[in-house]
This record gives sequence, structure tokens and C-alpha cells, in this order.
Amino acid sequence: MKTISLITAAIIATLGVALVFWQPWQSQQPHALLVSSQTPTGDNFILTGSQGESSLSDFSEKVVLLYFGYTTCPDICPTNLGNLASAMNQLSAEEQAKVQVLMITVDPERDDQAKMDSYLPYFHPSFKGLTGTPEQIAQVAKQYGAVYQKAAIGEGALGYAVDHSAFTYLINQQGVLVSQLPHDTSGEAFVVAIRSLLK
Amino acid sequence: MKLNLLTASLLMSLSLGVQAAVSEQITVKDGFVREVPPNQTISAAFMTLQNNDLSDHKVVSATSPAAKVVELHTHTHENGMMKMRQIPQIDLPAGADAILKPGGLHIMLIELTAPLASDKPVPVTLKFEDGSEKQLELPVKSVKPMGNMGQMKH
Repeated sequence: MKTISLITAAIIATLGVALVFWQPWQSQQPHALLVSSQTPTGDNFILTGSQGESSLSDFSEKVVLLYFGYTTCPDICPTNLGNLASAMNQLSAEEQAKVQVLMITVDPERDDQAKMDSYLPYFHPSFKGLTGTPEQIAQVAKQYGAVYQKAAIGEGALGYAVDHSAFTYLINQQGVLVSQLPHDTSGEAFVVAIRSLLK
Repeated sequence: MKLNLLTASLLMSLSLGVQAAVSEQITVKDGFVREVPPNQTISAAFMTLQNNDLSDHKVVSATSPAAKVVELHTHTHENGMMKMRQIPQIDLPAGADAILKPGGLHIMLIELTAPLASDKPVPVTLKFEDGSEKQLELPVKSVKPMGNMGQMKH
């Protein structure tokens, strides 16, 4: 039994090390296939924002960067939102006005609008958080090919975590899903992606 | 000449396996604790752990007065999902660097006892497999670089 847990520990540790050296941008693998073999359709959605009902079409004429995350997300979300903030800070004020970063919570049970409203502006004052019923969120996630599930963590000190896909969906000014950028996309790479649509 | 002899005998005693505490074989570089948004009670510590020894070692636990619970964690990437999991140890291979960084290995600080302040270093104690400990004072660092600072990395 002890041997088994030692082996498990070794495997976990090896995976951890492998992840450190894992360079998504060098991979030829189309990441979407890991989640679903179907190309996500994207498209409009209606959820709730700090001003009440909020839909993707509210942001037409802007480039939208859409992310699925949650406010008690310990590492992945703050890393990605930090990179997005870094991208925003590299854009001119004129460019910034044409870009909207949205995070949809995958943890509607714990994330109410007040939490979203205190969390997102920390990264950048323009970032907005959207919530909805679990059914509404599941529907939008399906449209975009995002996946998530609750997971028990460690001894449970965190309560639960939510495993989730960590793509940032790039949506053009007409509300069309253009591409999905993998986790750990740098601020610089986000800037390139944003500017390709601002031209 | 005397010095050479001394060096030789020192080297010999080293190679004969005179056991120094593991904590003395490990150099910690570039450590920081991530600044968190308001009302967030979870943060994480990141660092590079350089094992200068000829043997493998491991971090078996960490503690900090800044958090009620401190756990060793890693991320795995499965079926397109990022999964965070607690791990029993962080392996420190001989002569190599173990890198704790966002999206990978990290030390989770759960239920922060007080808000993190950028001017107040966070004490973190690492415990190694032989029971020896290393006390660190880690600066609090924001994940949102301002302006063009992000470009300076390249």
C-alpha cells in the first residue's frame, strides 16, 4: 500500500515537473480537440453583469476576450487575468477603448455579482465579470467549448476547486468567435491577437 | 601545500558522506508570494529551489503564519482542463532546479490570516525530508505588470 502511494506520489511529481517544461505554443496539437472534437460556435449569450442583463452583443464594435473562471481560483485565473491586464496596459488608450475582457464564472454557487465586481477590476478597471444560473452558464460554456467540473482538493481546506479549461476566447467586433488562446498566453501574445482584429 | 591537504581531506570527508542538513544544500531563488485581489483569502508562493547536493531531496511540507493552512500543490493538464491537486512532496533532483511557478508547482496559502501588503514580506518555512527547515521572507508581488514592464523579460 505504501509502495503504491509512493509510486502515485512519484507520478504526480513527474507530471508536475513535466508541466513546468510544457510549452503549449510549441505543441502542434490543436487544443480544442482535447476538450471537444467539434469547433465551438461561440455566438451571442445573455447573462447577468453589474448593470443587470448583459449580453455579448452589448460589446459589439469591441474586440472581446472571453474567459471562464471563478474568483476563488487559486492560480490559473489570476495568472491569465494578470497576462490580460498586462496586454491592456501595453495598448494605447484609444485601443483600450475598443477592447473588452469578460470573465464568466464557472462557480455561480459561490460567485455572486458583488464578488465578481470586486475581483475583476483589481486586474484592470475595465474588466467585467458575468454570472447567471448554472443552466445559463452551462449553455454558454457549451457554445464556446469550455468545460469545468467541481473537484475536491487536498484535505478540503479550500472547500472545493473547479477544474476548468483555461482558454481565452477571442471574439471580433461582429461577435464572431475567431480563435481560442491557450493558458499561459503572454501579455505580448494577447496584444498581437487583439491588434490583428483592431486593424 | 598544507592548504591542498586540507582541501583534499575536506573533499574526502564530503565524499564519504558527512551528512549536512538538507536545508543547507538547498538555495532558494526568486521567491515571491502573489498579491491577491481584495477579499481574496487564497494566495500562493513561488520560487526556484536549487539542490546543490549530489543526492535527491524533497520538500515535505511548508508553514506560514500568514495562512491557516499551507499545502503543496501542482497543476496537471488533462482533457483540456487545468487541474490543481495537493501533492505530498516537492521533489528536488540532485544538482537541479525545481521551479515553482504559476500554472505548475506551488505552495498554496489558504485562508490568509491578514491581507497581504506589498511592503510586508511573508514568512514561509520549508521543511525537508530530514526534518531540517529553511526560513524564508518572501516579497509580495503583483501578477499584473504595469505598462510595458512585461516586455522587459525578453
